[in-house]
Amino acid sequence: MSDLKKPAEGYSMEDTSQMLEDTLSIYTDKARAKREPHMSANDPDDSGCAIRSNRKTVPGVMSARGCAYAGAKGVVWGPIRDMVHVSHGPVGCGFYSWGTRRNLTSGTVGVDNFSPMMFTSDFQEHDIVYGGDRKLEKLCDEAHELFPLAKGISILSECPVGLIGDDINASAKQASAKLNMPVVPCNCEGFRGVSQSLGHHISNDTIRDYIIGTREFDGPESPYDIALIGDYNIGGDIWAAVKVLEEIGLNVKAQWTGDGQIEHIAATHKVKLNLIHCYRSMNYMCKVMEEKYGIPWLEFNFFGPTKIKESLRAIGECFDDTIKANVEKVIARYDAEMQAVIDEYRPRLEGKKVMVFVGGLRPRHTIGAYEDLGMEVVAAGYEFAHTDDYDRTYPEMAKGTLVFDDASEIELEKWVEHMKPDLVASGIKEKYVFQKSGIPFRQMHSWDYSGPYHAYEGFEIFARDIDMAINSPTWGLVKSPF
Amino acid sequence: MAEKKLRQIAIYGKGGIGKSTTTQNTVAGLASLGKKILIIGCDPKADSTRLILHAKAQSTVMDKVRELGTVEDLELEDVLKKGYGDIMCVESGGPEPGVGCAGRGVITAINFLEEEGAYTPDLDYVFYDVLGDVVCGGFAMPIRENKAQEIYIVVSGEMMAMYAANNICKGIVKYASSGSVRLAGLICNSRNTDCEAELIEALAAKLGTQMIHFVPRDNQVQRAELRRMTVIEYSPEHKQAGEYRTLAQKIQDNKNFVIPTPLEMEDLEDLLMEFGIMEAEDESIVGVVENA
Amino acid sequence: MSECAVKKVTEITTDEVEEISKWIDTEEYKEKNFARTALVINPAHACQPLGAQMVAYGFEETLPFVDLNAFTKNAKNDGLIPEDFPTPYANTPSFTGTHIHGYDAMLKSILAYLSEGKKAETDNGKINIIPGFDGNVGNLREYKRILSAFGIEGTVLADISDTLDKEFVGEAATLSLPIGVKKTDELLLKLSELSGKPVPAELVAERGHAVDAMTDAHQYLHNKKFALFGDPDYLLGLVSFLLEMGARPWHVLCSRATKKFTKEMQALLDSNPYGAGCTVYVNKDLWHMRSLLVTDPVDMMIGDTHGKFAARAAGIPLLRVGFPIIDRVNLHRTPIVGYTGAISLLTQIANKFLDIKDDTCEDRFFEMMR
Repeated sequence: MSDLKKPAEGYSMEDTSQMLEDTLSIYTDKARAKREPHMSANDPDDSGCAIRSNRKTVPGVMSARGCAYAGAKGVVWGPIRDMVHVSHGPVGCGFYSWGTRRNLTSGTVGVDNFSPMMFTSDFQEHDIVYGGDRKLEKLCDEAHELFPLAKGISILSECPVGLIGDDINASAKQASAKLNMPVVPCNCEGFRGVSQSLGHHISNDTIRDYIIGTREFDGPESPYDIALIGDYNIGGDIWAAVKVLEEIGLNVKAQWTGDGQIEHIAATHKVKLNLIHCYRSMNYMCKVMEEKYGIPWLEFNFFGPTKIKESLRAIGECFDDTIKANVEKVIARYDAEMQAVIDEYRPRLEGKKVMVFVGGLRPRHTIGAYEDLGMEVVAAGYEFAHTDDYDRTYPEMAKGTLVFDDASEIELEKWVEHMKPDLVASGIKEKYVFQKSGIPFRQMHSWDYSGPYHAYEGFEIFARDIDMAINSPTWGLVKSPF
Repeated sequence: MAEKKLRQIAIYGKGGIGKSTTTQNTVAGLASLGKKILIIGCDPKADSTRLILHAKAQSTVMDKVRELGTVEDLELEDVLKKGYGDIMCVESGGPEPGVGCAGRGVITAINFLEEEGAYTPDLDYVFYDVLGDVVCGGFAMPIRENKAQEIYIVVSGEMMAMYAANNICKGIVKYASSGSVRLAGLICNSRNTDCEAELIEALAAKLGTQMIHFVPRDNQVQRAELRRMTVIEYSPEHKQAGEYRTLAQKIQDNKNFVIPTPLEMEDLEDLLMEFGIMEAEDESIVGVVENA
Repeated sequence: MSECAVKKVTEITTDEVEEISKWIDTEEYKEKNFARTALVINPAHACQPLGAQMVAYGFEETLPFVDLNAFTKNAKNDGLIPEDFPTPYANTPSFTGTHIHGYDAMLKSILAYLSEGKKAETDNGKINIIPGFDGNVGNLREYKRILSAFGIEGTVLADISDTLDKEFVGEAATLSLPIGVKKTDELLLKLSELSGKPVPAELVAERGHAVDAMTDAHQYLHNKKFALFGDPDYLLGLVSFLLEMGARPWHVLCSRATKKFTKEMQALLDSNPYGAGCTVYVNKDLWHMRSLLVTDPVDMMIGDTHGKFAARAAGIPLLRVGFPIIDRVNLHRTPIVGYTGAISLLTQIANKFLDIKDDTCEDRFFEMMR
């Protein structure tokens, strides 16, 4: 483990603890007891700093969380481009999640690329009353007929399907046999679990049960075959990441699941190493492949040149000298470019404080990128992280900064008021609360319709975006002269 | 003329207890008192109006919704039929057992009837005949706010029927404390068990209500049913028809509406033991097979 | 069979892609596509809770929750919610109706709740406008401006552009969304009738500006064919406006509508020679629309952001009107209702055609004037 960060200026254990005490005082005793363990002043050298996580949200608060369906459809299955992903149930779940995650895909829409489309069984009253199994079977036939190049169908259950007890597994099995392709039932009803996190897990399990090992790559194997796991290609992230991995001499044989192809995913058990970026959403399958096929896996971080460099060297360690040499060449080539980016933006961003509140990975993974720009993350929280994510976070944060879990809107407002960050980096639900009160904001789920932010290519865009969020001249107009 | 006050009544009770038969005969009795009545069958089996219409309802609300694809295009006359004594009949309908959500069908149907104005001002009564076991919220629809205010539970001296009645009372309490729904009485549909009337009287007292009527068992009911008729229509002079007319009159005159006081399981068992329906638990015989 | 070989990964070839790309633009494909009964692809409607939320947001300091009547009453009885804390409730199941039904149900519930026990014996002389599901705050501000031009005290109910008020009125009139001159005329006449005040000179002058603009620019829209999709209210207004311009509504698609809507739309189309040849599609989605656009082309599509893929496939512009618009800035601030809205719509449509002409014409046809 690297050395502890030096305490952040202006933030202390006492001050942050007092702030949390003030925040909690707004709650009833019952709500307070539930929320208190989910927030703490960071104390990285004290093993006692243990944030409680992955618990049910306190009913009635405004939470930023999603549901199991969101985790399954939006995160894991949706980005696989050559499958028809059916939101099974009423129209809303699919409609609101249609095209809003920005997991870009290549190919021709409606021909060999279906991710940008929205497929649903659009349940009506009579489907609820009489059940939707027959409709589901019919729908699979129709999808196959209208999209002959689709390589499979995923069926993502919405709440009512689980409530009325439709047997989607039986329907899927029948359709799969009839259509001779994978038809994967994913029982990811929104009421299951406490957040989208369970949806990730359920989806990983369906890949394990229905997909992995059902294909093998055509052509000869190579010692440099890898899979890139947990990159969803937000704004083109995975394309930027794959570019660098190929430059160091690796063959990215499968992408999970950004711009993904189901048959490549099915053959991942043949690669030599799994590289995982979003640990939270896909560690499950890495562990399964390690146990079942002996494939090692490595976490890495492609945000900001410092972390990219560290990660590339760690990746190089898994391979022979050829790759190691390539890594050094690639680092040397990009170092100058990255220094130019830093030289341009760092003077305007030096010393700025950031509060980050995102899903299950980025709050810790983006810290290095801010630091490359001379900024400091003074508060980091997750919507749906687990204990292992927090364990990976404490050492990345300075003592006395704030670490938190599943924050409610009112808590965030209190903390922002007290900590006065120069930038809040969070999601769409938080964006207008802060932006309209005059605090610079960037969406860190969707990259605020920008990106990519991954790898070298991404850092330049990240730096530009952070700079314009904080230094936009429009902030100067906020105060009216009359 | 004073404005009519519509009385909405829901009939609950254990499956197979004779709810539909009792309801239809009672409603026929009310009709013979000159009352205007609408029966809403809230059971996917759709047999709540058979004796009034002399046939199983041809098209239920859910059948038609399935056919038309949307409830918006459904017309009242598609599903509302007139039968004996000008009694209006409608069935919610629903799926075969084991699929879908029959409870939702009840909700859909009642919403539809309300929106389309099936509750006309000339009506004296709306009767909801509800599936035996209140297995989900849908079957509680008739007792939600602004629907049935009076609930009658059909019961007999059999243990399971009484368990069911007590459970239904628990459901009523939930809605009664926030709304105007009240328990109006137990109807004992006799199975000729021992001390049946006394037992149900005792149960009613514990629940804070009354046994509004004891309907004796009589095969004339079955004879009428074979002809798809109520006793009141088939043999108006028969004494069993008189029983239903009496029940109808009692309902017409009833003012005894209460929030029930359901029994704890032990209390119910004590009651059953008191009447010899159940014996004191002998732990030594639990799980021991015959001739062991 | 034991140890049968695992299948190899196959790649989709460029030939296959080319073949299917052509096929999905054919009449044959369109027929297959329209034969669909179970699968819905790229729907143009959302579900009830969206509409209910929009209403709730229109009442200041209101938080929408998923809730139940008996539940909230019990919570009040138990003292968990203060007795005088308003908790109107609408049942808005996602599998019935659309966001439009949700809007209506929630608004009705809030009004019923707030007026419970308040007798509306006397008409308070005010006029309420219920705008219907409309994400365009510019439209709501336009209604308020019209009311104030009349000097009418009034309230735009569930006004997400501003604030809350509670009174009820006695008389009710249902009008279409006032898009275009005729529908706006109808609204103003009705307001004049209800208030007993003449249509103010300011609005009469505005009508003149709108008609002037429409006459001046008619050549850019005349006989142009349009595909439209969206909510029933919007469609009726937009089609009325296009007919006024001599444009041709050609494919009108409403993804969830009743027979009543179809009849009303058909009557509107039949009332005007430019409505001839137009087909109204209900319970169809945007993948159906794509088939229509590629087999029976039009000049422009009008609808919300979700239409952009179909428009791109057909190589035609999408005029963004409706909800949601999540890929262009500020359109929700520009009213399309009233006379000013008509001018704005006209401006956007005509200039879109002119931009395309300038962007795509050969050099020899690239002219100073258009």
